Amino acid sequence: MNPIVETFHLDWKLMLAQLFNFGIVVVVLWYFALKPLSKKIQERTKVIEKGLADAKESAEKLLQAQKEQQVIIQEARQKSQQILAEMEKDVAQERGQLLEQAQKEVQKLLEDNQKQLTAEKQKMLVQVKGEIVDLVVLATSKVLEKTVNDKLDAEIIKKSLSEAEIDLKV
Amino acid sequence: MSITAEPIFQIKDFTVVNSLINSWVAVLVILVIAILIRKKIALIPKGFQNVIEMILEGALNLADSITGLREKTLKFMPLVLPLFFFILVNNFLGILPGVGSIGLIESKDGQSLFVPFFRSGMADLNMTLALAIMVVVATHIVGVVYTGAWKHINKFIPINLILEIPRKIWKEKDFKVLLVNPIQFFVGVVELVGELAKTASLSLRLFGNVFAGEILLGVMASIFAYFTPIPFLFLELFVGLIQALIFSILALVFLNMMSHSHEEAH
Repeated sequence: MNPIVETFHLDWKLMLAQLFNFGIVVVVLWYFALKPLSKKIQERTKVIEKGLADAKESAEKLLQAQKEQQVIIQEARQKSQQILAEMEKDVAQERGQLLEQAQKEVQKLLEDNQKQLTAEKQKMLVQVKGEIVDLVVLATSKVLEKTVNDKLDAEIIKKSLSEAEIDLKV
Repeated sequence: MSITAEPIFQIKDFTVVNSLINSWVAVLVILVIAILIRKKIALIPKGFQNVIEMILEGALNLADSITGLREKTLKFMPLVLPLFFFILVNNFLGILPGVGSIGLIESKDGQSLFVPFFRSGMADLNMTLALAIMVVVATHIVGVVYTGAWKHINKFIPINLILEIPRKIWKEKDFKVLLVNPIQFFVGVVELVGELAKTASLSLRLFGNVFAGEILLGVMASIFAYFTPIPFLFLELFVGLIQALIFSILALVFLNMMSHSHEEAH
């Protein structure tokens, strides 16, 4: 062993010094390069994985939202059609009721007018009758003033009145 | 060029040799690069960080192909990766102009000797042997941690094989153990010798290659200093990289081997 040691000048102190240097390299590389780099790579991997997972989730949510949108639109369309149909039905019903009511009112107005006219007519007839009587009396009395006595006068009046009444009814 | 590192100065009874100075420079270079990496690290990588991450990812994938498990790779990498970079930087520093060529001419025993201020760290057996011993010790620590102290000791000194001989003979009437177990015990002891061979092969391979490269460059420069060494400089760059890779991969292989129990390994 000694010849080898002497030939190569093997020195345990020198070996320890070289190992110490290597130890520094191990610590330096671990502390300054490998550890932070590995940590950063892991962090990046996590970020990428999260990003991919989020993208997948977003795509799924978008697909679901589109499906829900379609369903909602379909429902809304159906509902609007239903509302329209109900509205048309209600409007038709309302219109019928309004027409009926209007017809009733018109009928009532007509009836009222008819009644009023009849009443007016009756009133006028009574008035006319009275005036005719007066006229007949006056005319008869003026014609027959000197030729007919009271008894005859009364009969003539009576007869005239009955004739006038017939004429008025006609 | 001397086969040993030349002393440059003395700190009390500790002799500082030129390979140690080179090793300090290598540590400094690695420290600067590491600090630069630390400063550049961002969540979104750019330029330099991309290159570093590419190297790291490549190293991890290569190591995965040896260990088979990323979990195991991550446990061994804090030792193997610095080993690779330390050897690589040391090897590349050894090729730089001035390393091995700037120094003093000293006279010793009537002879004038050229003593360079810098010498490639790995061109000194002290360095390669220290690293090899450290790797072998680390493999045994890994062996004890992964398989347990008793199993690990029995890999090299199979005491259990000797202890089971009486039981096998008296209870199971298995007389084969009288022949098989001593042979297996001897194989275990051979494995122990193999550990020494492992240390020697790791250290001498690296030292031999780098030192031979230095000699080669010196010879080529002495033949024709300006153009002849250029292809050899490229060759040495390649050798420096390959040797760093071989040493660190072998370290990883030994670490991985020791993490399996004897039965698993077979």
